Amino acid sequence: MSAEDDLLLQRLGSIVREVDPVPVPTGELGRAAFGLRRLDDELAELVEELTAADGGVRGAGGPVRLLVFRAGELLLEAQVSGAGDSLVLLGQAVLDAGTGGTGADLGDLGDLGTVRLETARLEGRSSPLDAFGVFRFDEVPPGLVRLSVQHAGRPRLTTTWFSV
Amino acid sequence: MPDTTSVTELLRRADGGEQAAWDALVSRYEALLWSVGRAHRLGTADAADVVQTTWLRLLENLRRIEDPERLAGWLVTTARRECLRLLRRAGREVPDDDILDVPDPRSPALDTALLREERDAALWSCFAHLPERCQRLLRVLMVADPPAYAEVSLALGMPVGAIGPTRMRCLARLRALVNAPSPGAAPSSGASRER
Repeated sequence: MSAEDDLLLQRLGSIVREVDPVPVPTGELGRAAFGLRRLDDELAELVEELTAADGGVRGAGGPVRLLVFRAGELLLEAQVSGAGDSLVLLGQAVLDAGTGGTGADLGDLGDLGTVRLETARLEGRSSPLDAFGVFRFDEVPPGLVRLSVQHAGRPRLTTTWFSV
Repeated sequence: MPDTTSVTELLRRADGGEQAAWDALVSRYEALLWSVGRAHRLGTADAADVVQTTWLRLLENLRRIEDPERLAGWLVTTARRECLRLLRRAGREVPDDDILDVPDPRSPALDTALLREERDAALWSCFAHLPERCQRLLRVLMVADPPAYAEVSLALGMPVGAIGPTRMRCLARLRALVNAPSPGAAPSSGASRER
């Protein structure tokens, strides 16, 4: 490793900091991400992921992915379909009755709750859960997202970040 | 203003909720993560997504980083994984070794118009004529606080033992391009150089 080589690399480094620096918004977003920590939430981890090519599952174009998250007895399923820059995320929050049971819907808890979709660019929107715990988000941009489910009397549940 | 606080300490303080510690981690590593995205030939939007994805993964794993002093390795591994995912999704395969021997014609042109010094503009133009493999490696090595070879290896999927020799060869090649008298070595990036 010659000193001459080191100098040349340093020169390249100073050039690259001028022609291709980390964009300011990228740095700001990275710093702002710290505000997204949710230490008090229950973390729902991805426990299953299935991909169906077009057949079988209804969906216009592109493969359909099914992701299942779990936190304790709560299961959160998310089906991602569509293609390009506008995806559809259709999901359901259900209580897993455990072995032998067929999950009960969240309506059993007496509170329907809401679900929130957040993107890596720190944008978010909410949707109510219906009586079956079903929710839907349209025009979801591809990238990293996460879901949080909130209903009264229970700690908020947040999934790990996942790619759509 | 080099920050000498240890990574272990910064992680601990960030985990305790200290935004300033998190900001210091971002400042310390963002150029490296950006270089990983660029080394994989990603455009600005995708490279930015790679960086942000990596930060979000780190936030989820603040408590689980097993060896804090190896944080850089963990970060570049996470970033590379995301780069490969984006490339796959775009139908751009990760090039094999043969393709790496020539410059990648699809790589985004970087603007030399910003460079005041003609000497720098010439050097940067020559850089674009290096074989793809060289551009990738040097792009990561030219970060202000250069990563260790173990981290470069993780960032690029290149064997550690190949890094030193490749670095030397690529820099020699770059020097040869700079010194080449023929205009053939100069790129035809007309628009940006007429200013």
